Amino acid sequence: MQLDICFRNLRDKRRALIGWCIGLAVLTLFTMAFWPTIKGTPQYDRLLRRLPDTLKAFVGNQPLTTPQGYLQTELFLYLVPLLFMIYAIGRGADAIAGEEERKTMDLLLSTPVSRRRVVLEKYTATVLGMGLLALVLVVTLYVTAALFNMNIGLAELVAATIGAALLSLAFAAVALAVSSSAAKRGLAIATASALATAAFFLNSLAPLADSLKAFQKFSPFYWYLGHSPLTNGFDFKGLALLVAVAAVMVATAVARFERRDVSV
Amino acid sequence: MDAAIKTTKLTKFYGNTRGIEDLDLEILKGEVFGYLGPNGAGKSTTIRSLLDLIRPTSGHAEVLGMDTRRDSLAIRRRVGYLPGELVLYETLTGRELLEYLARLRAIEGVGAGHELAERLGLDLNRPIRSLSKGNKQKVGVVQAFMHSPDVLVLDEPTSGLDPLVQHEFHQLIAETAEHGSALLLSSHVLSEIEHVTHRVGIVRRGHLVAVEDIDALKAKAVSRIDITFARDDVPADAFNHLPGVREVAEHGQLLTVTVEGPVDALVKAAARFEVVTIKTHEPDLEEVFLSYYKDDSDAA
Repeated sequence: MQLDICFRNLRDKRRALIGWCIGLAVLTLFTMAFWPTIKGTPQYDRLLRRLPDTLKAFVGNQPLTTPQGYLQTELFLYLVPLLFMIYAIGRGADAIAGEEERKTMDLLLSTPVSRRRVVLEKYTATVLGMGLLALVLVVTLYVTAALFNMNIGLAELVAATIGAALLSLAFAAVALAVSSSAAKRGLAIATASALATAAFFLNSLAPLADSLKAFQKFSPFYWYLGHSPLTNGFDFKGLALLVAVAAVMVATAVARFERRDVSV
Repeated sequence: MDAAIKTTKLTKFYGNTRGIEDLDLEILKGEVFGYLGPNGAGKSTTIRSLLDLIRPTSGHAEVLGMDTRRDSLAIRRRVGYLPGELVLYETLTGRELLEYLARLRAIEGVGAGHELAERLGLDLNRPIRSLSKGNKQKVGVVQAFMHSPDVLVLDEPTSGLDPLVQHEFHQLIAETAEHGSALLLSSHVLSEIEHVTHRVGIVRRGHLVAVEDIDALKAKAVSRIDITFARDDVPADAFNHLPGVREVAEHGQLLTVTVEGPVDALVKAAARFEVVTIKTHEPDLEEVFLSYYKDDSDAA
């Protein structure tokens, strides 16, 4: 497979990507720096236990004083998926609609490259960028865990990080599909973000209402966190579902872009 | 000669808006074809259909004997394209852009890119965002020609080029046609391309309303000639009935004559009197061109 468009895309955005890496590492470092303090303060857990269920649903319902609970509540429930998704959805939305809005698509497609190739290479660039962010997160977590005496296994860190990355790539693929269908970057970002938010709430709130309980397992957030990867490691079924969503969305993107007019 | 570009009843509607309708166009190998029409007439619609950027509502088009829908990749390998609304990757230098496009075209190096850039006086080391409009247009021209394509589709190619560069560009077009490539040049101003085209087609409201040899168009062109005589009693009647003469106006020593086609008879007639100066004005093909529009709108 040729990757000229993919590498061009990564090179054009290398400064932004480096910024993302640094920001992510610094945030992780700060979060981890509080671990020794939290670990020695069991009052937090007593406080959490007294919260009403609806609030517990949002703060994670996990004891803060265990490494798994702390990492999940502070990083993997909100912050990591939020940051990963901002990055990935932005890239996915930009992939096709961005070139059209900047009016460079005519030039690109005047060369003998198929539209399928453009979509696939652009998504590959998003996957590689996401992979770099995931790598930075795992390395930072592993190093800072050792630094601040947190007892957590590498496999669990990798499992949770890959889950967050695949979750984000699934929604990036949604953004890509809209980007490839409609040539509107804003619409692609809005659609993917709205679906991601809905998925988050479905996963958090479904357990509270009997009528919704059965639907929790349809949320991509559940596929990512439902199996508690920080405790139980890889959940291949959940990860496979995330990959399947991404694959279907990328295929949709190719089909839609192949069929339509390039906008002026 | 074979057709390099051939459209058959090519029609494109954007929703209910007409882009082009039932457009039959044929451009031969080795030919420079001027595609004329005001903005919004359907020039870019035709051109973008040829590159499969947009898909016809009905009808079809062939480039080098290949179907624009089915064989688009094979076509694009042999076509050079200069977009009408040219936007380049602003962060790259000219060289980086050419190298990128060359890799996508899978050609050696940048093909003829360096020679072309030198010819047009283009510095490839500067970032594109720092280039003037004219220099950006040069980058666009270089990328369209660098792989020595068999067909060139140039949408408003001379926009922003200064006169010296235009001259060099016209040379380039002539040479490329001599090598057997077909060139389609669109413009909304005939004077920009009349020196290089062999034939012109006029598109108006989505329809091809006329195709003319440029020489035939020139023959129909009207020129205005001002003749100043030594005496002020030269009779206008002596010129009124000469072949091609349309209008004669006399102001003392000055005689203003409007002539269609060759001016031979007029000059010979004038020579019978003592002539002080003869001033000719460039034949205005634009006027001929516009007369098609007038005829058409009268008919409609």
